[in-house]
Amino acid sequence: MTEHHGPDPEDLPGPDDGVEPPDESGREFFDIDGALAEDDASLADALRALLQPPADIEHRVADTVSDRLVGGSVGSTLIDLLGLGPRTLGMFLSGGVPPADRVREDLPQDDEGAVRR
Amino acid sequence: MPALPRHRSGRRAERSRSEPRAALDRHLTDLIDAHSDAAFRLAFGILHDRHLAEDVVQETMLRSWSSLDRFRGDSSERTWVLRIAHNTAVDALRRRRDHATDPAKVPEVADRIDPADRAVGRDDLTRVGNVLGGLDATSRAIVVLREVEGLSYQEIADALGIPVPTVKTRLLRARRALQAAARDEEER
Repeated sequence: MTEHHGPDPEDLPGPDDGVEPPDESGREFFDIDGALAEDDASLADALRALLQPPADIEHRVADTVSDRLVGGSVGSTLIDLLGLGPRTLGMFLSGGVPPADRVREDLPQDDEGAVRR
Repeated sequence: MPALPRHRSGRRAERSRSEPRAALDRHLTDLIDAHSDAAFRLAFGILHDRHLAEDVVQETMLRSWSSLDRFRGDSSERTWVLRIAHNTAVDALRRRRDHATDPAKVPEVADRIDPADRAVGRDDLTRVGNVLGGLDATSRAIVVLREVEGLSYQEIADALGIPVPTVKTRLLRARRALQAAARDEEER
């Protein structure tokens, strides 16, 4: 029986095209289960070597994840402790003075800078 | 946002290599230890970029941990985590495609292969990597999940949200292309 090969992979859309090849549902393969049953250990070995992660991947992931969690928690805690609302926080971070502390120079003030009523 | 870790390890400058792991929730640590390797292999297989793949692994672990209460146990934990890793990698792929205004600026697969591999004569991996990179993202994921992670066709279908016949067809096409690439290299 003549061995039937699938379409040339170079004819398939590129990885970033977002275009999926037509799903033939195995129409061109006479016995797809039989063909798939043929194991290829060398291919698996090559792929495993190609895709090998860094030796310390667990440590690196744990470090980064820990930093992200702690950083996010500190920020949330700070906001809660200071009782800052989003507007005040935004002014604080931008270097502005919260409205309650700003001197209204357009209003009459006493010698100590307090607004006269 | 996930809850604050129960055992804070102290200031960043004083942390040793092992302290960050002790500070994490036990479930998160278990996820990282059990599935980081597989998540990296899948992400790298899809993205062909080691730095992006590592970012995907970090994101996958956080997403998995934060949604542990929604894991119903319909599939294995490995399949569930790899589904999240696949979705995260595809999101990263789309962002990279959207940001690439000039296709010529998207690095070729061969450029991302570790130079150390090329230096010690492992160009066969480069060729296999090139063929793998020429497949569509779904086929790449199928190849990695079957050939490397050993998932069943049904598990792959569940992880990627596609029918089993599609898994088989794509796998066979991809496998033949990769085997041809490996054979061509051997004959050189």
